[in-house]
Amino acid sequence: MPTTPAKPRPFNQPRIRTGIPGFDEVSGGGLPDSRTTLVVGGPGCGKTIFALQTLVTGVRQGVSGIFVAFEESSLQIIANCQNFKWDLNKIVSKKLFFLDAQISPDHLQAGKFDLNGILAAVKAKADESGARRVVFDGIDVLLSLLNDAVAERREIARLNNWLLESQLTGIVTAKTDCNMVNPRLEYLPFICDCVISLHHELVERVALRSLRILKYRGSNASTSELSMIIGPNGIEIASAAKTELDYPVSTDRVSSGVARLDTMLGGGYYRATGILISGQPGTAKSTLCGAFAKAACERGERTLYISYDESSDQIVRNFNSVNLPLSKFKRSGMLRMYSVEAESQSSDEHFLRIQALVCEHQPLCMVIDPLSSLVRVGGVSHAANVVSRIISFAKQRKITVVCTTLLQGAFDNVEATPLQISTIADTWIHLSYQIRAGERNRAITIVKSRGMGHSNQVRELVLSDNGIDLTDVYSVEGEVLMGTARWQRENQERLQQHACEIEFECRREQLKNSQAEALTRIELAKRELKLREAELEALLSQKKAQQEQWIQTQREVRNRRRADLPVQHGSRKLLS
Amino acid sequence: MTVARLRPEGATEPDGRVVLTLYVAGRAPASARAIANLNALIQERRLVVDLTIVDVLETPGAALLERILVTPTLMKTFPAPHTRVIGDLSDKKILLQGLGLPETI
Repeated sequence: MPTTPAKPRPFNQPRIRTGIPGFDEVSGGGLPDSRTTLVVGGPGCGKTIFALQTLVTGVRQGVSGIFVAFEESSLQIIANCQNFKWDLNKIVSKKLFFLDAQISPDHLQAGKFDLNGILAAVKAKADESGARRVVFDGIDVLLSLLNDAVAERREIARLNNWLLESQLTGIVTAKTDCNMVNPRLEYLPFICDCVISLHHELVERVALRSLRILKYRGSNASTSELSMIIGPNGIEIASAAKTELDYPVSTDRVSSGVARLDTMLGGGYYRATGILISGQPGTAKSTLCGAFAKAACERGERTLYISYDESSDQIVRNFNSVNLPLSKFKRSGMLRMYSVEAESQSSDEHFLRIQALVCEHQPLCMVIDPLSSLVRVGGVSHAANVVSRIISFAKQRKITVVCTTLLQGAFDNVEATPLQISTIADTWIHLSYQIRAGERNRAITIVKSRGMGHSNQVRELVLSDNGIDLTDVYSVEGEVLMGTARWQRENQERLQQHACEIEFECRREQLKNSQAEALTRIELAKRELKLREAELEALLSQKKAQQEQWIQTQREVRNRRRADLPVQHGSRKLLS
Repeated sequence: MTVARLRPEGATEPDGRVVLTLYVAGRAPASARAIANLNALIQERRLVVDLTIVDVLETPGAALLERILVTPTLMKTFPAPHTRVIGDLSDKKILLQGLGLPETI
């Protein structure tokens, strides 16, 4: 059969959208138009779903499609796809046509054959219905009957040429073993313009699906492995984020639920950021989340609380005991609680569920407790990727997210999180235990908080019937005490202080007394001085009087004696 | 539609004929071989058949109607049971089995 040469491909090849979320973005628009795409994978990987989903999307855009089923019967396929929200029944036989092409197991084969029959039938249908897209599902089943490599290659070439000539967009699916190698079909990828391989494997006992664009002529689509899940709308790809980190930022503050913590943060958490609370089991991480949720609900902001640990009723009951009543918000619909076991789904499926919940409830605040349990499903590196996607997704929607992560064992000293999400969280609060003197006390500290000045002090977290409170810790000379030890030490200090004061008073009294005493003594001394002075004066006057008396006496005596007085110097006058 | 009726020389019975339809694809090698092989068998066994040859390339609608997947396909519509034999009919044993004829005369 002469073949016409293919039309020269334009640089920007037209694409057809598959309608698979994530795939169209990664592949640069979808599958190549008017060309053949090969989808390979092991059993149960989703090849049929991929092909059928593309056809269904085409029908929604008004383009009819033909599905040629070589492996399963069309009834089987339609029945299996009822769970997807495609409204298959409405479009089958109107815009989407199934051709059953299964060879019955009792077929009689007398020699070699070619595929002209089915190609003619498809062409007839395409002309009749105006279909522009055709799927050949499970072509390896038919070709294996040829049992001749040369013949198979010939038929594959015939199929490809037919597709090229007919200008239909073709999707061919074929089974390969787990190594993506099928010796029968190894030349098929060389003919097709685009080859997609689907994979389904166990990672740490959890089933993970992945998709990889092995080849895409004329496109720079990424050939990395992408996570894939099969959800209610069909296949969804977790697209590798090629988007820039471009979140809306706000300087609004949101209360954390504990007044003193808000003060430590300089006002509260920033809106639309990610907050991480880490700590060992029992350090009240969930309680802090509850306080945040309650504060958000009281402000009238819709809140979504996702728990991988406890049921919603249990959480509400636990919070009631610390004065965080959430039941009324749950009843009014302001608070939506969702609890599920982490191991029940892969982390990609969890992400999609969270997306769905967010779209449905439209919250402004979100709690995920604990985020670290996503590690239990599918390994650390994969979970880390999923976690960063969750937080990016929330930030894009201006949702403030509070997550908790469990640290176990020796991590408490190292303040490292197993998921390494401390790098994407904007605020990181760490809770720890202080065990001393037979007591466990909870300590809270802010490790980091981007964009705000925060306190660097450790505070003690106290839970009581009145709620959560932060109290100061006793810290002196490098010692940090909490709880009763702190109380004791503070008491001791008080007593010491008191004793000091009393002593001071005593001493003061004493000194006063001595002062008074000294003053008295001064008085006495003064008086004595006076006395002495008087005495001295008296003595002097007595002496003077005595002397006068003696002189007088002498004169008298002399007078009375009228004696010859010796001539004395100066005394001549006396004789006259 | 290309119709060719074959009758072995000398046959006269009008009823009890085997009704066969052979779907071919133009002048494809497998189809040519099928026609040749079938003719040879009919000559050899002196069969009385009512044979119709349909070219799917010219009348694709027929292929769609009968769900013909590969060419050549030989369909026996009378007598019962209805059988299909795919391939160029080079395997005589299978061909005879499909026609419901014994292996040896």
